[in-house]
Amino acid sequence: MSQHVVHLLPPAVANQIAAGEVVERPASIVKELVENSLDAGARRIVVRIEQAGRRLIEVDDDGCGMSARDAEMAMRRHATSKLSSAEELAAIASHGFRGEALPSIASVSRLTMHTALGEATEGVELTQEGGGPCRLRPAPPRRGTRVRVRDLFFNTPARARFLRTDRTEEAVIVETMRALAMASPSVGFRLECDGRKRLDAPPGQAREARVRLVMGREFADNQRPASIEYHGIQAHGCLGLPTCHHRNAERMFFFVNGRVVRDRQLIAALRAGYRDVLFHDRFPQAVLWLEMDPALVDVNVHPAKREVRFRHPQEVRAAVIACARAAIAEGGQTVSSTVGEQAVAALARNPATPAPRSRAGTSPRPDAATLRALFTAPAGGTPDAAGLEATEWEVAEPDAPAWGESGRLDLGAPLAQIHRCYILAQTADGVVLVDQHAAAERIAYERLKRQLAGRGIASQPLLAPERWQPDARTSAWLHEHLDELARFGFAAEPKGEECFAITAVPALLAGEPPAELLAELVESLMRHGAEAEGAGRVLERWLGNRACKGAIKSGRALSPAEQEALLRQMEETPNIAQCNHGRPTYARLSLAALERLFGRKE
Amino acid sequence: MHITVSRNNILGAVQRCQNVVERRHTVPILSNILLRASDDDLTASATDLEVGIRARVDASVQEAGGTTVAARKLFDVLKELDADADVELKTEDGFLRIASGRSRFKLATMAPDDFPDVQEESGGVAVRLDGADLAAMIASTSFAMSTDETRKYLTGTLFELDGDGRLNLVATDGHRLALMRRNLGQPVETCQSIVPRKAVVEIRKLCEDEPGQVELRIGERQIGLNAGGCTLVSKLIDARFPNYADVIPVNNPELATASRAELDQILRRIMIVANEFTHDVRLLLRPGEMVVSAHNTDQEQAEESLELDYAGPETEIGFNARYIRDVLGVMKGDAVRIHFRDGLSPVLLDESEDAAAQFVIMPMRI
Ligand SMILES: Nc1ncnc2c1ncn2[C@@H]1O[C@H](COP(=O)(O)OP(=O)(O)O)[C@@H](O)[C@H]1O
Ligand SMILES: [Mg+2]
Repeated sequence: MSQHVVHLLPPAVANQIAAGEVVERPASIVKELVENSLDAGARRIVVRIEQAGRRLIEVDDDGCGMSARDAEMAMRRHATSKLSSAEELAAIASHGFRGEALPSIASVSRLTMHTALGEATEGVELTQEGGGPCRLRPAPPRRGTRVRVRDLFFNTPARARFLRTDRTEEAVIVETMRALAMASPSVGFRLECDGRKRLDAPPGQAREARVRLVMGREFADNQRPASIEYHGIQAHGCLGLPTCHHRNAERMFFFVNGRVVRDRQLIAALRAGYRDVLFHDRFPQAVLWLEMDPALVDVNVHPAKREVRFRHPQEVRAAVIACARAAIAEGGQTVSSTVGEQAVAALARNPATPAPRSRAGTSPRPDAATLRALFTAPAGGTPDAAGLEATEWEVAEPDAPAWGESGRLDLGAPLAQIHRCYILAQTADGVVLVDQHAAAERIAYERLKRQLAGRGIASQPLLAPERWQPDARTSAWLHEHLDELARFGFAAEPKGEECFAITAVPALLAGEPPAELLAELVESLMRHGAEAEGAGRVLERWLGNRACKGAIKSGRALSPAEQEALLRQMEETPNIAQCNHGRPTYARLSLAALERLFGRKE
Repeated sequence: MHITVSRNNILGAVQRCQNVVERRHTVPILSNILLRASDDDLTASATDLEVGIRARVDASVQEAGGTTVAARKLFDVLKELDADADVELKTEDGFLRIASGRSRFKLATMAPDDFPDVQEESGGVAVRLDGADLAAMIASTSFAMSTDETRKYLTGTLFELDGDGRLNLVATDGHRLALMRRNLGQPVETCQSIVPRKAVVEIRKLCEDEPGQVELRIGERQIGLNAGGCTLVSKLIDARFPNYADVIPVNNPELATASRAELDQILRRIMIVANEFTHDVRLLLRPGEMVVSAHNTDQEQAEESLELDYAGPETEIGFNARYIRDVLGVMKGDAVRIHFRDGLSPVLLDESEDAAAQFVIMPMRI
């Protein structure tokens, strides 16, 4: 027996091992191939999928193509055209650079590639099966490259078993393509799954048009675009309104230098940007493109290049927060601009790109910010420590609040209702503008909270139990924590591994869908823990929703007496400064500020 | 189209139709009403694609034809015209001209070809009964329908023809249930369908206005009603209604009988201090007496007792007072009978041994 046991792995095995990292599932192949097409300068990319990618993944592009020699070369490990020295690795502008994708894919499938160089009169077709020898034969010329990957994992049945259902794998492919399509709005993307069209985005789209196409109309109509530059980082975003939130982080998309990235830090930064305006267990929806010097991003962190490392993470964080706040503040301007034509005109001069003040404090404060400061909303939540620079130019500077001489909140006498949304009131030294819905919501919420204080939640049993089939994870949790539900007025009995019968609901919310309510509750409890503090948050959120539903809506005409009553109730209500979602309930414009606005005084 | 018609007649027809028109429908033509004249009558119809109504009135037709015009506007115009005069309607160059006395209107129209006219499904089971009776059945049950759109089957009313030749109406929101039966005096094919809220409301209105009998047709996918000159058809809610018989407690051992009006007034007073969302009150039943009480977190309290006919053990039951008052509100007689078992099991309310209506309320755990 030989004494030496250490030897180099044969290439086919090495590639299969690499494939373990790069080719997790069909969607990762789609991603690698599409990125190659993007690197090749394609303007249109067509992806065809059969059986969720198990049977076929085809990526067809109109990029630069390859010569026969390059095509053969490309199938070798660590063969790439995108990088040649270690220095270049420090500043990568292309998607690929590892030279691993094609050989890895070919090691676990039957791969065919048909390609040709731009001007060539002949093309080449290359086939490789399960990492075996590479066969080339001449083929007609074509524009760009087409790669077909068949019978994925045919030679590694263990890997095949790890795949989820076709439905799931296909969904992941669709999501992957949607993200890629938003990352590169100028490129046309098409995706067909078993002949059905799942995505069709024409080339040459602007960012917002692409977002509308991919994210849908609801999001498109409920987002604000924002662009800021911060320490050489350019952030462009389509940021969902605070009210357009989501139950998890899946509707946040980040693109760093055109690369689709899922990064905890970025998610945390974006949430921080929304902190004061969203419930703690909700997530914003947003699409964010970050551009910076490639040297400032290390993309060589994750084999599938999903994660990145920033040279200056704090600055990136600040840029993300600033971008989010700019978009949120833009919503706030809409409110204030209803006061006078002057304000509208002045605000309109400033596009939605308030540049954040640079750290050195040299660049002048943007006009928009000054104007925004005229209407001082009451202080929101606590500013976010890490995003401090970013928040400085934000709305939330608490000017003298609307306190009267007696030291009590004084919202003055109502003058009029504006657009059936706001109440204009005159105070001793200025005017106050009240958002009727936000204010009513807070009043209702505080009242509900008081009613609940010191008393258990009344429970309303159901005439007939309501079946509920949560997912496996939720079910597992529930089986162990069924008792915890009683505290919230719920009762449920297990009816099977993943099936429960809801038998009682909290009386306070009896008119609402039992399964939906319980799902929300359990999701929150799983996140925050069933201990007292978590439970408190869950309750708060519920009551908030409820209060929101019952409160006076925007668009309702209020009689002078009702306006008066609302103002007086507001003065009596604790925490009246913000509605339950953290939006301000009123804004104040002092006489002095008015005089400045009209140029009567400097 | 060119017709002359009595203002009152056409106003009535247009009003019926106008009820089903959705103000802001995504399909613009559905804000319109379809007018069609032929022989010697005018039919007006409207639909929101779920519910459709067609109303026929006598008219003198100079020229047959049809058009569609904004329902709301037509209604507003007709309302303003002299009640006793005739109205002349004439289509001309894409407009509808309306003339009455010295008033002249010219309203924009849309071509009638695109209008999805009310389609009646053939087949189904047809029964006839007094309009007033059907209206009363709906009045007694519709309050219990749910507004929870996630459980579609609760947002309508079950119309059932059973093996004993009865029409049964059932509505429930999962916390309480209302059932009303009516003997049709003839054997019928059994069937069940869930009628959406909007159609239930419109059927009731049509029946209330109809002095004679109406014909109700229950089909596979559609319910239809003929009342006088009006036809209503509605899609059904495509879902299974819970088996309501399982929910009605038949063997509740205890029975208390109280004055309906008195109990209602007491609940009304006590509710003032109850939680304003849950309206939770306690009924303490003991021989000869019931004590109704409520309190809230501000330490406010209310309590009042009434005499009643009861001889069982002392029992306390918590309720959403609204649920009880809804039931008392649709009952007609002097007394209400409360059948119960304990503080947590479903409670049955009715008026008498052979009452056509039964109501079930789930107590609240306070
Ligand atoms: N669609 C394509 N069009 C043109 N060239 C391609 C295409 N796909 C791959 N290539 C070439 O093959 C090389 C190897 O690809 P790959 O294995 O994905 O590694 P990487 O993208 O990291 O360089 C690329 O560097 C590129 O030169
Ligand atoms: Mg690559």
